Amino acid sequence: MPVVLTSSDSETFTVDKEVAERSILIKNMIEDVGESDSPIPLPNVSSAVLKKVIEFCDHHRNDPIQVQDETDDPRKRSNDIEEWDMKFMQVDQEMLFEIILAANYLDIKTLLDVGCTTVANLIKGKTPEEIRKLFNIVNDFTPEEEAQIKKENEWAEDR
Amino acid sequence: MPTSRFFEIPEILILVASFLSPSRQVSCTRVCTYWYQTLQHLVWKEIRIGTSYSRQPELRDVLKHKDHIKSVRIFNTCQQDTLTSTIWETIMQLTQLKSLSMENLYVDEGTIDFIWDLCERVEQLGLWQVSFATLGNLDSRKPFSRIRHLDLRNAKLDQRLFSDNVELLKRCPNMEFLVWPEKLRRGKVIDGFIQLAVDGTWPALESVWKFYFPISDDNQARVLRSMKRITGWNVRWFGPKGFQVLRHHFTTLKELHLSGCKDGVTSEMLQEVLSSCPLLVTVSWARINAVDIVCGRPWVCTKMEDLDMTIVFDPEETDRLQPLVFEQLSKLTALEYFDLSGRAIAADMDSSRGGEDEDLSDIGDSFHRYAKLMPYKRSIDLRLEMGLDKLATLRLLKRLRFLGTTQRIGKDEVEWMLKSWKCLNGVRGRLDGNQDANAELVEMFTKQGISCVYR
Repeated sequence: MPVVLTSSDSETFTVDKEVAERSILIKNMIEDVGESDSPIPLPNVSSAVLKKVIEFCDHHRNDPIQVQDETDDPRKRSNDIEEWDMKFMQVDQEMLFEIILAANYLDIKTLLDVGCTTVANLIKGKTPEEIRKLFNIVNDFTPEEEAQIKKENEWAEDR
Repeated sequence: MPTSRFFEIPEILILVASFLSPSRQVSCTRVCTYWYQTLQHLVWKEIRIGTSYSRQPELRDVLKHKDHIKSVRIFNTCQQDTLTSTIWETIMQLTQLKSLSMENLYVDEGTIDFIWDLCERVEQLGLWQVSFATLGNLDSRKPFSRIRHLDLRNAKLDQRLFSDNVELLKRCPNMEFLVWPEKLRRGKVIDGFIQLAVDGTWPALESVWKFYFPISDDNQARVLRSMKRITGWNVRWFGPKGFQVLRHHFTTLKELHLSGCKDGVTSEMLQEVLSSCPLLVTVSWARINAVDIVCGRPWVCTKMEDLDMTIVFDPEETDRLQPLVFEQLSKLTALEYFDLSGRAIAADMDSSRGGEDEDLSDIGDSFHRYAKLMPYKRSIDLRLEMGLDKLATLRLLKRLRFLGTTQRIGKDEVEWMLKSWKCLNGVRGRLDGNQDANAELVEMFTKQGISCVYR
């Protein structure tokens, strides 16, 4: 049975239940409400973003559902992304952030991980100043604070 | 501005940073006040203190971040030189400490009490090459009931006090994981350990690692029988009775390392394990006969990440069996590390080494020397015409080792590997017997940033 989703800008999307249920939020909503024809409103997600999210869920519809952080094994924390996912994430920064926020809100662990890995890969190898520039962040440290933090964490740099 | 809204959710910033290495996390803490406050706990989760680290945190900063510190590694290369009590007093203030490991440390009268106090608080304890001059008031202490994970790797306790190893074990009633690679062979200690296990001293014990004592099959079966649940087993001595008990734990078994066993393990046993244990993550075993793989039941260990075993072919049957073996291997879709080198056979053949080699390149070498003597021990032939293409399902494969095996890998195979195994970052083994041909193939790998060692 298909599920109807409504984006913040009132566009409706009809998707298969198994695709929609990649989102734990939607899955729980469906379980709570029971079978119903009425659309599910997603006031935090715009149609442009929702379209992307549905594309991702559709591609991964048959993947096993990831259990919430079953392991802290650093080996699992690899930065390897599948080719399809990597292409999927080739969007501008604003869209990338919107997708991650939507994944967070809709509770789609795999999408959240892929998105955050993509951001992490952008950060890799950059100095603090380069990171600020990349994300438009203002440096609010005083020079003293900056020096002190550098010193305080210096030991951890070559780990 | 979407940027600021995005990073304002701390969980997301933390998740992003968790995909970065510790040194890059440090760069992130220097971006702005908010990033510093949000990520500082990642940097300080684990600290190292000792005389041999050139860079280590200042003790006053350790105190400043004491609530973040969950794990401490103490390292001291000068064995006779003890750490100052200021360091110990600082560590005592880490209320969130869960894991403590000490390496190369000499424990004397002045420090023993700190150590036992910490033992009462941590869940993980590692004693690596630690010498105790005294055990202090261990006898009158209450049990270290928080300790679940005890690692006595290369613990060189004073000869005189060696049996006190068991004294410490005895005081950890909730121990789940034990790593105990003691090489000394004192019958009394082994007997003591077996008796304590049989008496139910560790009802939660489920994994024993690097248990290198010689232990009879009967005694091993007794220890295994005393365990309610078994997830890991790594020993140097094994036999059919132990295996019989292990069979009851096939549904929980995750890690099985028996490659160090000179005898007592058979190819049939391994085939049975691979076709019966669905949760297996890592297996290391001397060898398996191709014919057993082909005639046995299908493998079920689809979670396998790390597999180390030589596959042995009967020369008469090689061509017929190869494709069927590849077929079974293709089911291991989670595999990351695959080692066909047959280190156990090599180590076995060269017992003059003392069988304690962790350096596998050496073993590959000794394998080369013996390969001539044992030409029938041919491993799997990694060529497309033999069915290598079936392994396209091993999409997560990172490292492939086939040291000491005879290969005739060609350009087509290398191209295929580069295309099919996107995560591949290392290859160990001679690709082709011909020096020039081999060099050319190595070049193909290194050009793609994949290290290739073949000596």
